[in-house]
Amino acid sequence: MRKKFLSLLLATAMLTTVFAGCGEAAGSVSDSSEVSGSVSETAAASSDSSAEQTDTADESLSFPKSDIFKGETDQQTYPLSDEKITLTFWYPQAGSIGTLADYNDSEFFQWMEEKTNIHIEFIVPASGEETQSFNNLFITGDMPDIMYTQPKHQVYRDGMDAAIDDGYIMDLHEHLDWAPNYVSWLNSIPTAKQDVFTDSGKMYGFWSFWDNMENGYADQGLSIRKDFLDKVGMDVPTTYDEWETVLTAFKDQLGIEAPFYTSKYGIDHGEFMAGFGIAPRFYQVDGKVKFGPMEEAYKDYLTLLHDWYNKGLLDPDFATRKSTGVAADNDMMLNDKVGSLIDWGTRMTDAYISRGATNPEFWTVAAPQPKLSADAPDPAWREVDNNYRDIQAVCLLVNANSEHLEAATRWVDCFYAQDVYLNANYGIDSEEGTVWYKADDGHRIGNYDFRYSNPDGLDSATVAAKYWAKNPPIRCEAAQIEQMPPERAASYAVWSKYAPTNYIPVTVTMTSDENAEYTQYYTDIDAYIQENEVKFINGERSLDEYDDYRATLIDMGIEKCIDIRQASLDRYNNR
Amino acid sequence: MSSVSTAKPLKKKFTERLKKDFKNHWQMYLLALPVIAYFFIFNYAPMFGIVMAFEKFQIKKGIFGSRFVGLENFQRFFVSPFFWRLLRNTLLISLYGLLFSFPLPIIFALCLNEVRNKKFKKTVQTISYLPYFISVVVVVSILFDFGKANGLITNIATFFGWDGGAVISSAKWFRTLYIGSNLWQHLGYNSIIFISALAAVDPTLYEAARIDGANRWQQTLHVTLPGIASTIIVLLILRLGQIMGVGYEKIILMYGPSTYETGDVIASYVYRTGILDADYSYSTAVNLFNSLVNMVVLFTANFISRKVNETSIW
Repeated sequence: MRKKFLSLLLATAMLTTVFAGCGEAAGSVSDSSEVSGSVSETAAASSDSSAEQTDTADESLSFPKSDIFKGETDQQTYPLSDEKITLTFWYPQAGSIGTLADYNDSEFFQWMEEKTNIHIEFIVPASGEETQSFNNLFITGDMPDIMYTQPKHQVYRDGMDAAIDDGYIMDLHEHLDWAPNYVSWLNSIPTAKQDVFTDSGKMYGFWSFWDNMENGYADQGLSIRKDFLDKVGMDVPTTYDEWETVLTAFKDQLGIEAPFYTSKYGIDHGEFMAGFGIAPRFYQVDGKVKFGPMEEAYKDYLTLLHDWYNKGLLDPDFATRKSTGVAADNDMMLNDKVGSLIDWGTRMTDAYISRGATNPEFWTVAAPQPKLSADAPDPAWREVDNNYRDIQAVCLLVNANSEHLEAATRWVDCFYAQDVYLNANYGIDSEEGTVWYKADDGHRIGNYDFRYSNPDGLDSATVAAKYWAKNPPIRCEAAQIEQMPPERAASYAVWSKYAPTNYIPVTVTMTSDENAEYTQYYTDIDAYIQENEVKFINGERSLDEYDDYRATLIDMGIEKCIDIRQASLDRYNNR
Repeated sequence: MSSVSTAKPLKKKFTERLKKDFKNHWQMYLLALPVIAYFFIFNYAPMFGIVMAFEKFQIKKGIFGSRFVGLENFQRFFVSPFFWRLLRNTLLISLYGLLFSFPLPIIFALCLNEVRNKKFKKTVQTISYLPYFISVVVVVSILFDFGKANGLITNIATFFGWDGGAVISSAKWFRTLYIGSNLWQHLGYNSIIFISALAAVDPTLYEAARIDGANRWQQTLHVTLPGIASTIIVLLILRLGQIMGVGYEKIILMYGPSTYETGDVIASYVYRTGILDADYSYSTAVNLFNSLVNMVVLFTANFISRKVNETSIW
């Protein structure tokens, strides 16, 4: 009689064992959900493209010559395949799909299929599960032909080199003859060599570029409600003291619930803190790697936030917000509960109105990164993940074991040809006059009204997903700005006011051993920091203990992490 | 099963007895086959992966090719600054959970058992287990809504003197909210097994007790409770077997940086290191440690129970 419980017991005991081993996707909320939409929306920072072209340096670090400038002439022959083939494409853009059911509903991808005779089966992981979904691709042995990755969040655990050595990812260097359009880009960009090769001289995949960085800009930054500012009779603040005055006025005079909206960690991407001369985590000053929380100025910044929290100037519920990075809770934003935040350019006023903001006066404007005082040094850091020089932190990988290796490589390469990337950025040729129109000199301009007051009543995100490719490998910066009314486009100049010179490029790579040691320490350190920063801000932990806190970080191995980052940055600088 | 154990006098070889038994009862074996296959495929075969805990696992090299490192992964966990906190949080959430959510369904079942109006009893029972069918995601969103700075629970807490702001982002409230919402969700459902055990108590015993002059309370104490005691103990031991098994799903939905201190448990840590950071060896080692502690607790509980009141699960 009792024996029948034995099986139950076994089931119970076993269930608690080794769930880490099986490759099943679990949980619906992940801490790294900042991955989700943000690639799409960040933009170009002008940086001194000083590195000179070193054609003759190392024989292994070279690509064929091309006299075609930036894919102006498409060198692929179409269709890419005589018979219809299907490729699988891992495309973590769940946050950008709008109300479409599948990216094959996109006019651009339909056009692309007709042109290339290649059908794409999109694999779109759920929003917030991108990283774990990517990890699982390697375990399940069911790897798609092409993968769209953000190496900051999605990289093979042992590093980029190892992904190639272990036979998962194709070394593009060996197959550049299939990628003539990409080669033309590499030849057109002076700094490409430093970024596209790994430390051991391999090419991990197709890196993404901006079409033109001459007028580089950021499309993410501080955003403040202009209508609120007008009500309290103030100007856009530029120093921390002015910010405090403005936020206090929002709170006292207008009763705004969250005068300044922060992410759930209380720490932004660095846009706001950079005035203190620091960054949220690792950054560099003249080639020397530093770690924000170890700096004295970081304590000052937390002291300021703690003070603001006590005064009710921060969102009282910040620690429970789902958002880990930019952009506020939609409902709060639309219901006038947020006074200022860090936001994406494409989410400004008109986007909120297309999402249903009902206040007729709703109006946000960009604010520059604040400084300590008017004559203090310029902020030198902001999140420029998607644009360091011309390069974006997006890399398209080809599965080394793909059945259609050549077709997959050529398909990705198409995106580097001008006629394809123009269609991808603005809308396909036949949509001239609706989705885009021609300027007097013949170049394309996106139709702003079509996007933000769509005749079919689609919201702006769905329009983007339906008529062009979200974040194609070549992104036209003009597609973002030029279509906008001048007062919107001006925000990019405001956000780009200071150059993010302290940023560490995402193309810096660690070796497999470094990777293993680094993650061993840093995973715990990162969790510890997130937790304590929230406590320092809301006062659960006193800032008097900051020295103890730093000592704990050292015990946990932060100095080794800094050393590793330093070593990898040095190698990068010597590439 | 019993036929095997009672065939004692002729002590033949096990295989021989099995063969004979199979011949006589092959239909039974056929019926059991899917279950055996299930346990083998989904529970025993994956156990092989435990080997990873003793390796520096690399996906490419696989379980056979990766370098053997002995107890290195375990050492790393034991010296981790989070070790004691994870252990403490896991145990406390479980123990508090056991303390509240184990006896309450029994009491609830006993109370219902005393209700004479059948219609009322059925209604209460149905309502009580309705929350069980609500997804945990929804339950957690409700908690977030009620627990924010001006939410219902925070307002009630503030009325009674709490001044720490949003309860949902306070480490001090994490366990209360976690266990409280669990209780609300599972109380009715968990009481079903006791209600059915109560139904199985022989009515003639109550009759005899009444003739002996026992009142309702005495009947409960001397007839009802002993009648369901074995069910209670077996379920208690099974619960003890899960003492380290706080599920990660609800935790990772609920916790945040501000509540890691009391909310981060071994399971959520394994989730973070294993699933998100792809540190497979280390997370396997941590989880294996968790299961070992679990097993020790289970065996101890079973042993004590067998000694004390001769009820045990094996």
